[in-house]
Order: sequence, then structure tokens, then C-alpha cells
Amino acid sequence: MTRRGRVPRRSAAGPPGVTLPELLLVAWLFALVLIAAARFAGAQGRLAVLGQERGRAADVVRTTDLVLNGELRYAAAPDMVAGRDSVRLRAVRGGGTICGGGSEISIRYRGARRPDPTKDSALIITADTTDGTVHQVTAVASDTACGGYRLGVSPPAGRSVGMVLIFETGAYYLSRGALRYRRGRGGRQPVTEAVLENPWFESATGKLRARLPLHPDTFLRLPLDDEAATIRLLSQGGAP
Amino acid sequence: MTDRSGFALVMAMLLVLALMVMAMGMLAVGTREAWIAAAGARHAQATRAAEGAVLRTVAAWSTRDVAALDVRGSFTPGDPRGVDIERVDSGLFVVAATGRVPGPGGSVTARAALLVRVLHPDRLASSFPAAVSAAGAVTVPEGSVSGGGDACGDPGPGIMAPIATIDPGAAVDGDPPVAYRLPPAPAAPDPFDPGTAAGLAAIHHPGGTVTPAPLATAGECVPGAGNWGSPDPAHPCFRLLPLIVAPDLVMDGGMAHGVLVVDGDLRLTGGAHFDGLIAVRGRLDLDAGSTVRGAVRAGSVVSAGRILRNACAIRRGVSAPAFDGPFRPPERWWIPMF
Repeated sequence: MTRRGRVPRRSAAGPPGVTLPELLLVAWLFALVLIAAARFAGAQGRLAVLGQERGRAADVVRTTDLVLNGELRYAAAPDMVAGRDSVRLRAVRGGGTICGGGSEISIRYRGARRPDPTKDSALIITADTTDGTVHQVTAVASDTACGGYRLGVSPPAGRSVGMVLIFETGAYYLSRGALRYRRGRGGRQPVTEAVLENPWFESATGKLRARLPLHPDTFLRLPLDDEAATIRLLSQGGAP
Repeated sequence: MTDRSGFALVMAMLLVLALMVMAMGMLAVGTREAWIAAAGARHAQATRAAEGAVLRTVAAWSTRDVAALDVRGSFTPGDPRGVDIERVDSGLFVVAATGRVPGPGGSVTARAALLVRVLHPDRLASSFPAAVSAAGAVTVPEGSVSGGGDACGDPGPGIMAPIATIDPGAAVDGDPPVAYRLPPAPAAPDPFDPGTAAGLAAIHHPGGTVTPAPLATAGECVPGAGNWGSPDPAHPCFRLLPLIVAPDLVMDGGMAHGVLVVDGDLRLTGGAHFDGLIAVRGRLDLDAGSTVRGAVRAGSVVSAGRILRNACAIRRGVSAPAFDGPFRPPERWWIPMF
């Protein structure tokens, strides 16, 4: 009896396996699948790299915006000098109300860090001098009665009322691909990764190209002409 | 038995695994971006909340509310919440606020603060050191100038000016009657400067000739451009104490009190009576029969009328509502606050 609908088994005497055309067809199809899979994986890899690059650039943009906005948002006109690719400023690190005077001043302090005589100056603001007078901080000691610090300042403050902003003179640059910070006349330290001068990301094969979100040309172009004069102006006060 | 050798199933599983890994990677990147964006948004919200609270406080500012605060003293108004007002100098306040926005990892906070200058009444009064202060010449052909002295204060100089010409028929007294020197330069901000006063004035008069008269109906004062209040304490318009700013002006008769700032020349004639403070950039002419009770400050003065330095009238003038508001320091307003 013959079973219908079933492929008859090859006889044990016949040649086993598949014919050559069948083999070639299968090999060709398999190669096609492999090539497609490889291309798909490659594209996914490039996309991942692109995403990572754009993520890095976005991080740099965010950091730059956060830092500059934080430093400059409340800066008054006498507190900053704009440059070609930079801005020099009184970077305020803390402040407080004067709660005692004399040869030293005591301030009820809140800040990002403790005042440091090696870095900081004090801007003393009173009703008569709301632009502030600049004094060098010569000594710092804790003052628990006041809830802050007792500062030696030069020249002496004169009055024992008003408020004090503690600042260091610094400059932010957008140079060599990164936001950099320079305190006083020190070196420029990078704040972000150096990705800003490459506005385009290209994949290794050049088949993926995407614009990164930031380039110094479109972000900040400010001239800074007389560096020594601006440092002196910001850190020691006086007429521009 | 069916032959099930081959690797299609394994390949399919590997492919699905690879796709899952890639999808998870994309998801992780997207989630991280969302977290960063949300944190940035919360920080921005907190900053705006702090700045908004500070600005609302300044918009509702009344110097009278904080006048009793000692230097280095502070108080919390309550509305808007999170605001502190601290007096850091006699005429300088810091208004600070904390904005707080809750988030999944804890609250995000931001602080904002600004400086507010206020005009102290004593300091305002010091802009009028004599009955008549002038940077130029003062001429008194007739009438009288008195340094006063009343229940509100001791007599001051009658005239303070580098040049003063007093005819024998005129009467000048005070302590001293004439101080031959320039009046002290007014402290900034000077609300009697026409430019500053224009931003504070209750009445901007177009200039020309005016005869102000207090107007009341059914015992209620009716404010208007021609109603400059009344120096009579019994009149309903005694409480109306306007700051008036005008270009060249002639006050022909009438009665008024308050503060009059003229960006040009002023003439009082026809028996005009003014109680309070008058600041004139140019020349002040006071005809015979006209009276000023309070103090005047001008570029130059010719007075045939009567000028009486009256500390009570000066005190009322400097308490005008126009001076009760906050002043923005020109050099520095917002300050960084930690």
C-alpha cells in the first residue's frame, strides 16, 4: 500500500545528500543572509557610536551652559570683561552679611567653599557703594558667634555694615574644543571634553554624517584684549 | 523518526538576543537623557520660583513695612513663601528667596537675591539743608526768608548759596541767616532730580500755568491733575501728598502741598501757597504775596515772597508715598546667593 502525500524516501542505494544546484542555492541564500546581518550590525554599531558622540557633545553643551549660566547669571557689569573666545570674571564662591567690624570683618557666610586667602578677594557692598569695593583677603578664621568667618582684609573695610561677596578672579575659555577655566594667571584647565571644534561627526566609512549641536562659532565669540589690565581691574577694583 | 538537525533555531535566538541588547542600549541612552532633561527642568523651575518670589516681594515693597528693622536684622514676610528680607545697611536691603521643586531623588533648590535701596526720610530731608538752597545766586529784593524752627525741628540756615543778595527791605533769619557755600551734593539716588522723579511721580503736569486747588466731595478727597492736596490738616485732601513733576511752570495762585519737581523754571505768583518741598533745575521766582512753607532747592532764586523753612512740612514732604518704593541700585541689582 502506498501512503499518499508523503515524499518517498530515497532508496538506500541512491546517492545521499543534495544535488549540487541545491547546495549552491542554499550557500548563496546563506551568504545573502550573512551579508545582510553583517550590514545591519554594522549600521547599528555606527548608529550607537553616533548616539554616543552626540550624547557626549550634548553633555558638553549642558555643562558649558550650566557653568557659564551659573557664573554669569547674576554678575553685574563691573564683574566681567568679555573676550574673543572667553569671559574673565569675578567668580563668586560665597558671601554673607557683615555682622561685626574693626580691623577685621566678620561675615555670616554661605558659599560653595571656605574663603581662601591665597585665592580670594572680597567685594564689600554698602548703601553708598553698591558696585562694591574690592579688598584682598589676607586671613580667614572661623567665627562661631557670627556663624561664618572672620576675614582680614586689605585695605581695611572702614565700616562694619553691608555685605560681602567672596570671589576669585578667573576666566572661562572656549578653546581647543573644550570649555576651560583659568584662575588668575594659572593654566587653562579643561572643564569639559574637547569635542566642541568638531561640529560634524562622521562614521569611519563616511556613510553616516550628523551635525553635533555645538560649535564655538555659534556659541560664544567675545574679544579679550588686555588680559593683564582686566585681571587687575577685577581682582583689585578701580576704574576701567 | 524525523531528522531535526540544523541551527536555524539557534541563529534565530542569537539574532533576537542581539536585537534585545541593542534595544536595551538605546533605551538606556534615552532614559539617561530623560533623567538629565528632567533634572535640568527641575533646576530651572526652582530658579524661576526663587526669582519670581524675589520680584513679587519687590513689587509689593513698602519701605514703611521694613523701616523699623535694625541693620543686620531680617524678617520673613510669609507671602510669597521662602523669602527673607535682611537690612545690610541703613539704606540697603537684601531680598533673598529659595525655590524648591520636589523630585524623585529629593528636592532641587535654588536661591536668588537682589539688592534694594530705600530712601531714608532723614537722608531725603538732608537734600534741603536750608530754607533756600541754590547752586547759583539767591536774590531777596523784599519779603522774607526764615530758617524756621518749629515743633518738628530746630532752625536751620535761611539761605545756603555761594552768592546771596539781600536788599535792606527784606528779612532773612536762620541759623545762620546766610551760609555762603554750595549746598552739599545730593546722595544717589536723588529723587528730586527730574529724571528720577519722573519715574516716581503721581502727577506729570504738562507745564504752563496752573492754579491747583484741593477738591473734596462729601468729605472725600477727589484726586485729579489739578488737585495737589491741601496743607490744611482739617481738609480731606490733607492725606493726599503727591509728587508732581513738570517742565517750565507758573503756579498762579492756588494752594497745594507735597513735593514739586520742575525740570526748568518755576514762578509762584498771585498769592500761591505751597507746603512741602520744591526742587527746581533752573530759576525759581517767588512773587510778592506768594508763600512756600517747607524748603526749596533751585539753580538760582529770586524771592520777593515768603519762604519759611518748616521741619513739619519737610517731614510730610519726604513721607510722600512716591518715596516709599524700592530703588534699584544702578550698578548691581541681582547678587549671587548660596
